[in-house]
Amino acid sequence: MTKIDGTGPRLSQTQWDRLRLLASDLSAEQATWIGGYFTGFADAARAGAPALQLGTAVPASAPAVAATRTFTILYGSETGNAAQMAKGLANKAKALGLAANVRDMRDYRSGDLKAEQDLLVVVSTYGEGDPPQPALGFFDFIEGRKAPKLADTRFAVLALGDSTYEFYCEAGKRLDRRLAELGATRLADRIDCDVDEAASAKAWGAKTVELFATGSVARAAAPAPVGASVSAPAVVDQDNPALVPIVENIVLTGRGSSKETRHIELDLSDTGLSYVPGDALGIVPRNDPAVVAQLVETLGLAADAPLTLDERPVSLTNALTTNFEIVAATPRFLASWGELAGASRLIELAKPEKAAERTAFLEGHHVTDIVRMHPVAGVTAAQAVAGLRRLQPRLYSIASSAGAQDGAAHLTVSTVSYELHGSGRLGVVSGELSRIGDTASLPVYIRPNPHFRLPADDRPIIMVGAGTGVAPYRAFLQERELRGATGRAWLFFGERNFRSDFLYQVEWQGFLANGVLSRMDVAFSRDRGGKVYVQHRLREQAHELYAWLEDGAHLYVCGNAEGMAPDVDGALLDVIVGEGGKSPEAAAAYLRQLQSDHRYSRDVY
Amino acid sequence: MSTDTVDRHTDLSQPLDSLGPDETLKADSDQLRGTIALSLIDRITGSVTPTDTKLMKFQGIYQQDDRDVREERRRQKLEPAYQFMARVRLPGGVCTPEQWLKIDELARLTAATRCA
Repeated sequence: MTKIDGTGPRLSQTQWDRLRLLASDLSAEQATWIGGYFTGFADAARAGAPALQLGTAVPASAPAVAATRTFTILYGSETGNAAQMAKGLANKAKALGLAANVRDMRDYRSGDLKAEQDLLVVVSTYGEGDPPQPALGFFDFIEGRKAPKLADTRFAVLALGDSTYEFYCEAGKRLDRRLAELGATRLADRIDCDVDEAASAKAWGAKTVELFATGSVARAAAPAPVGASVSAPAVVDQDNPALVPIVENIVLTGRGSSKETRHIELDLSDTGLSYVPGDALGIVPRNDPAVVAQLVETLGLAADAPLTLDERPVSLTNALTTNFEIVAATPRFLASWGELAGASRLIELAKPEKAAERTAFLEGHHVTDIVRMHPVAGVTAAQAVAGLRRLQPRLYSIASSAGAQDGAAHLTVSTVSYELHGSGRLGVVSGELSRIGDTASLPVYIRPNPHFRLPADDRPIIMVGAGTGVAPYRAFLQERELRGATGRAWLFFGERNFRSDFLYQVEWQGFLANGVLSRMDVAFSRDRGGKVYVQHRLREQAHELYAWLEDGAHLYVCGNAEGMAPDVDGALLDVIVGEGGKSPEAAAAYLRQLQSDHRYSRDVY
Repeated sequence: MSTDTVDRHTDLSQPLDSLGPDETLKADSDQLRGTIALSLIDRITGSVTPTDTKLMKFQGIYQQDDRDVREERRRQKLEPAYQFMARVRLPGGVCTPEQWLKIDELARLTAATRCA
């Protein structure tokens, strides 16, 4: 459980993990030899050789790696998608004998950019066309005046995004444009990938990596030898989730609450799944059978209408239950259904320039509503699903420490429930959780969140969370209690009503009593006394808050991306301006510095 | 001559340690203030400390909680639904219209907006 962070010259978590694994069973003699080996390697690297290829045979002396061009896969990631994609591409490159240097924009030294020769960029977009939060510093640099000319660089951009948002893949578009402006050569046209288009992203990636590999690209001595990999246990991921039993499913919000928030406990003991505080749990969703039946009926199709999906036969009902998003519609669906129905209004809305109008329309119209408005007589099952997007897993921050809860995982889930066109609608997973009680099982996997981690035990932490955003802090405090951590902890929590919505109230009281939590400030926006939110409490505590930051506190923000995150950011800037006597620009730089020091982490959704 | 300056400490008919513990509590309470003011501004709980609960009783205010939801809230990891009951002293059982209106005003100002 020992956690050493920030040791050595900017080792990434992956590099550090590898190193630690390597070091775990070395003899003294081996350790000395390896020390010399790395020294030799460092000399080669200074001379321009690429990163060491994993899996090559152990040489007798420092490797002589022939290299002409360096190859870097640079990613900007917030929830880990782009990071995962970048690592997958690096493996693909390795198979082609191409040693890729995988770098996170978060840790990227701006001075390294001018030396990049072959650069493959993978970047996601969030909110209103924003780059991933950890990549903001990199964007500031590359889009600023200090960015170097890149005449000798070849690049390609893989942009990840969500087409239901107005500024689709905007971060990727910005980098693609900017790299060209700086004089770099576009080796392949940018690809924009929706949340369900991982397959086309991978296909593009494979082709592009090959483009980089041909020509005068860095090649390691030999491709990875077969059989070098250790046999690993079956990987549990979103394509291969583990079915785990629910052992508790209760409503946390008290009587009279304006919302419903649930506490779910899952038993992971038979799965071998493990997690650390900060990680998320992915739930592979299944659509509500009633919603599926309603859509099938609205389509005028038979429930068992046959369909071929991923080259396998499946019934329409099964496909709509487990494979497709049937609640929120996408621009692709508008175009596809508009074509089928001859509905010019839908086709019009699907056009790129109608983004704002489309967003509003999609908010008010689900797939079923659109089908009902524009019926298509004699539509086939294949046509009906053609424009639908694949059902995506839902991610929830884990609200427990595995050590403290004997391997169980707790979740804090707000039930999404609203009325649309006269009928009640429920969130796909939260609706299911509110239906199934505590005897069912759920298909899950662990989604690591390396950007959201506890610091060393003696470091102070400041945690800001609204609503279910408080979940990871329950994990943090359980973990710190278990480890007997000495660092101070301060929690800011916001919800609607004190009486009914003070999630985990008695647990925080216990942590305050035993000192695991040093301070707690709460804001309830719908109690008498006015709309008070966490950002107000941050401002009220400006003096103390700034003192904690100056003492080296790590700062965490978790919760709603639209409502809370920007307001909290604004409050933090005000605190730094007011207490630190800094200009707004200097305060922004202060926050950015916290970020690059891994002391300011956000998990917003 | 002002009566404000009269020292009442010697008014005790017996030494404190020969009396019940509540008498020591009262004697140490800064004229029944205790930490009531601090307890009331604590946003993490709707209750006051056990000592303050006792001191408030001497002033006619009683901390209670809604027993009907006590078990339900315990399972929900919420503290009991605390509330306070105030007793009004009416000598001879007489309440003037002015007093009644004052009680009404105070109730509107301080009572919970919603009764569970």
